[in-house]
Amino acid sequence: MEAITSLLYGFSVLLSVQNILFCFLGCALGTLIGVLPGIGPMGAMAILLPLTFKVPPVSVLILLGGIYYGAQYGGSTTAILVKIPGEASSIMTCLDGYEMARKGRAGPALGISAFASFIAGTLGVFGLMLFAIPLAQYALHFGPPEFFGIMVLGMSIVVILVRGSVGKGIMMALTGFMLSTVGQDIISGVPRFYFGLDSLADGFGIVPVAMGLFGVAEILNNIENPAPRETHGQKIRDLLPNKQDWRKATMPIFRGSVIGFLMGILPGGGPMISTFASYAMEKKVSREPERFGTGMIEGVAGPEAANNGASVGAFVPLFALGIPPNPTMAMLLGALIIHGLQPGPLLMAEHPEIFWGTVASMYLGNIVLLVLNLPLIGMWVRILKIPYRVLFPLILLFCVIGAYSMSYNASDVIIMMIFGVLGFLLQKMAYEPGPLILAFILGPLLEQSFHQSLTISQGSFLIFLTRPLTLVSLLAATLLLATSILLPKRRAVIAMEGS
Amino acid sequence: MSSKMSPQKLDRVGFSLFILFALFMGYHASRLGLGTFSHPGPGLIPFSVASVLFLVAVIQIISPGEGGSGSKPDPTIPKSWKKMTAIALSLLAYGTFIESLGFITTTFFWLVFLFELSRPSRLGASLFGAAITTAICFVLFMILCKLQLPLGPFGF
Repeated sequence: MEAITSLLYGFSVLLSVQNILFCFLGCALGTLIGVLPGIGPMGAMAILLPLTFKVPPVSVLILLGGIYYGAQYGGSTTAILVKIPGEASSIMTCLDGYEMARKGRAGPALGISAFASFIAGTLGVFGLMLFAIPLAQYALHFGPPEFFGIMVLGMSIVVILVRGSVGKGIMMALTGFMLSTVGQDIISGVPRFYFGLDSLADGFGIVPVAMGLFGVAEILNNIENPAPRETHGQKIRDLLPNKQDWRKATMPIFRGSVIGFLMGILPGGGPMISTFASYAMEKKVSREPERFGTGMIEGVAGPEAANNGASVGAFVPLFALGIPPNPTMAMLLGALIIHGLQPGPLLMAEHPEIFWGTVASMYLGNIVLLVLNLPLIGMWVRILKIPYRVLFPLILLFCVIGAYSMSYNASDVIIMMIFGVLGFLLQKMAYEPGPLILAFILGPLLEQSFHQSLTISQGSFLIFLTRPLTLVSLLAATLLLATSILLPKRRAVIAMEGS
Repeated sequence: MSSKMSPQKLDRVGFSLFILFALFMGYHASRLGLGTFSHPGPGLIPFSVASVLFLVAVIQIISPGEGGSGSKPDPTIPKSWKKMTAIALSLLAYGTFIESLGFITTTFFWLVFLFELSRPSRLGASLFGAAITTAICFVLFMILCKLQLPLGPFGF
């Protein structure tokens, strides 16, 4: 009953002209980003963040959240029509979705994809309401050691799920942490590692680093490896799935929703991993597993439900614990911090408008995305045909404006360029940027909780061993890292499923 | 275009760079003061992280381990390295001149340069595209979003 009252409060927050506009804008931009290659939701969030400084935090979260789950919708369009996943979470949709398009069934594939995303997103919002509040209340009992342990566990899971070697993932995470220490020490106020450069006195900004690693690096990557973007020539018709399609797709949608939501809560889970799990599940329970990959609608419905379920599930740890489960959520965390909010379990109690306003916006956002994705399919297809030589200067321009307007400092543009080149070179050397950006954003929180823990214990490390949750988290992290390093065959299997 | 470097050698170069980075940061962290565990100094955490990074990088050189499929480093020189270098340098130039020449002037010439980088291109189309895009950005960001983007010596 209290949840319903709170939800109504959330709708009262949402139903302002500004917030509704931001919801529409976030969903539209998210779909566009999902359709276009070269920039993902993280890059888009980084670009938009400086433009939202004068906007209330709840509006920012509505906008950025819309971009995040909207991108999952948009990514499926290119996956089905061009066999190129607009987002990594649409990789599995390519397998059967494109085959459906080749057989003249692009319309039902796109339609079931949109409906599956809508149903999973809506169910996910229910789950968010049910899980986040009790988890936040439980987390009120956590102290700095518990938060430290959970963040280390979360980072470890993200590291072991990289496609490259775990050692490289660990090195990227440690590098991200090192980079987060540049600037003023949050405890003592002593400037660190700025080497007399005024531009580094406040450290590296989240926006230039993220835009460099995920915007500029991606552009350079696309220039080196241009992807063919020929859309399937047939006219798209019959977007509404027929009865037989619904009969086949209903259970995969519900299974995918649950799998996606639960995996989205887990650190390192996220939309991409959940789609693999869902596809594997549907193939396992199917009476015709050998036909997967030839245009089975179950192979589209399940993964598409999973990726949207996961994108909503990821909000649970973000709101309840203040811990982002994946790098994209870390950008949302960065947005909260930039707007002067302290993420954590108290956020929901002290700023209920932020949580409930965002939840309410997700209900509206799912409806908006269904409207945007089905009737406007033709428009998205036309956008796909824009040559990349026209697109990349525009994307770069938005990156530059975003980086500069962060603090109206030209050196942020240069920092973005440096991280862009670095990001490209790191990807060529098979290092993934995800652990770096997650550690970079979590670094100050990790350092602060570590400091506070040692202060409480007067320098004794036993505090990390005597608190049950901390001990379990750190042991689990150690076990996961150790088994990942010592069992390379298992890693190869995970990576193969991920490719 | 291929290079003579093997993926394994490229990996070792990468690990060596991380070792150097760790040594550099560790040294400077130690100069900040490590303090004690009951009263950690500003350099304690960075020094500890740098030490772990150093160890992991050394272990990687000694025993690189296996990655999954699709995780091999690519030692080939990018085919479009000239274009990529030009883009990177243009970003550097943009950052250098935006405050002296102003947002509109810098953006216009930068866009012309970027449009001209790609083939096929026509100078007229590049100039037109750059002008339209700059004008839209002016309206969108400086007027609607009220961003304080720099004005140049000519007032725009």
